[in-house]
Amino acid sequence: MLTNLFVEFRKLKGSLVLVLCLVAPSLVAVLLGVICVRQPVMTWHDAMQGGTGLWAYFVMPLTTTALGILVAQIEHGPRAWDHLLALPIQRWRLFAAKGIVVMLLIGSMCVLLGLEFRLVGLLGQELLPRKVPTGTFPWALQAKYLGSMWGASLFMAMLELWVAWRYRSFVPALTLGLSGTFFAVAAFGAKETVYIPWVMPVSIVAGDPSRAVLALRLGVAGGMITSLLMIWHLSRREA
Amino acid sequence: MDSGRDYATKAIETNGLGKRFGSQWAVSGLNLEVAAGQIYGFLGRNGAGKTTTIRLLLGLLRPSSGSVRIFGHDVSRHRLSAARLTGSLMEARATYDNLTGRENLDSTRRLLKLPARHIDRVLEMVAMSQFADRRVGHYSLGMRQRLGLARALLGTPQLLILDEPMNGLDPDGIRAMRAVIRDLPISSGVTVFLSSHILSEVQQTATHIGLMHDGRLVLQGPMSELLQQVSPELFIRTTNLPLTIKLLQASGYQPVNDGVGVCIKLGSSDAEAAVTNKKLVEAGIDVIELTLRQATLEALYLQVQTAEKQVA
Repeated sequence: MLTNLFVEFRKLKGSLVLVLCLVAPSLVAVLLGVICVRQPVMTWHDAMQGGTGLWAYFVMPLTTTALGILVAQIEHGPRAWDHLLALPIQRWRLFAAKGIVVMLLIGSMCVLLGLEFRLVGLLGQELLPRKVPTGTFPWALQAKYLGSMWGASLFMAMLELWVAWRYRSFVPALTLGLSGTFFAVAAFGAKETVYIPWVMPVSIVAGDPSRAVLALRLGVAGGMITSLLMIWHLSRREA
Repeated sequence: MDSGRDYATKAIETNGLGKRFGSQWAVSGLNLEVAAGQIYGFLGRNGAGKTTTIRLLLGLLRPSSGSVRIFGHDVSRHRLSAARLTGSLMEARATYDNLTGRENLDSTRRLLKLPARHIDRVLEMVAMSQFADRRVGHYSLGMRQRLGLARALLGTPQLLILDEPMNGLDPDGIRAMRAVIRDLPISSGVTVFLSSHILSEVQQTATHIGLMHDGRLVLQGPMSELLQQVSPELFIRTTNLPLTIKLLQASGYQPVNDGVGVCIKLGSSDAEAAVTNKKLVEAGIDVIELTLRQATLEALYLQVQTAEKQVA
């Protein structure tokens, strides 16, 4: 499996996937910096909650959609599936490796976002010390939020990846991602929406702690079950 | 069956192979036989079922009927065993443009768990060593085809399945690809199964052919034997074409006038050409050109296609 992972990671070299993973969290960090400048001075706790909420509310769902499409198009674009699936290797390994790569990329974006939040704080101390959030930088809280968001996003990510791989056209995956994000934005307030995969990441910063725990559990469990079903389905279907 | 090629076992054997998409049979009742060491040209017009057959051979599609055996391994039941003996080139563009040629090959090599030296070996086989460290995005189509062939050759397969390997190649590329393919059975003992639209190329490359028509295999066998079924043609250009046609018709031929000269099909003997020439001269017709055209794969192809259309 390590070989499969190495091969999958190498395919990302010089690809738009890496650009996306770098740009998406950076946009949120920049936006957090702008908010800090324009708003009255906040505590780091509030700033962190706002920044991670912004990420999970719609940037993460949209980025996950784009990520799934771009990763799938690495094979769809040059019609490389035939070559891969004709090789004397178990097909489930190919799909499992790709699924793991996507999970790790989403995790990397969360880590990058956390580091960039700190960078925003350090830059603020140099440039506009009066606008820097007060208190110590909450590393533990940030790790908890972003780690939980990563776990809660797995259900959504695996669904989007499944659709992106199943159809050669990117349109079904894009439609699913946009629809899910629209639901998440429009209906976030409703209690029942925690069961919608696109709402699970943002539920981590909801006021109700039980909702956050439920979102994390559903996201991780849903992600694992969906990835197993996806691997089973794609490995069996005709190329 | 261990490492060596088993000459008693057919490289490819299909029995009543069929594939249905909805209510439409793309391929039906296919009984392919490709012996080890052959270069088998798989012919047919677009939509005849060639690519579907190749996908069935590679286990990318499941048969609706019948079976596929690669060196005795049933592809439906033992795909991995069959795939270990097979290399394939399905689509020239199926490479990662952002990686170099060497990295593309290395990805497949790693998945096949082969030593690194295999990359240089296959690069040399397709004369791509000097371009190996260039990004594939900068390759020409011909270079991509050769890289695809190199990738198919990783793991020293005993059977190579190539779908339209000459597609999009310039004359130099075609010549180079032809040389590589023709050399494979001799240098590496590889059996080659290739589909192509370029009949002249298949005639120069293949030892055996199979012809598909509407999802059925209508002709199969050694090239030399099958070409004997096609009559040679005699092209005649004279100073008096109308009289030439009359004379040929009187002799029992059915001349085809192409505006410049006439063409007639000869019987089994080439001596007919001399007899016809003599008749024309004796009739006072000046013969400007008399060309004997040997049987071609194209003529065989057209003959079979016409016969099939008449049956339909």
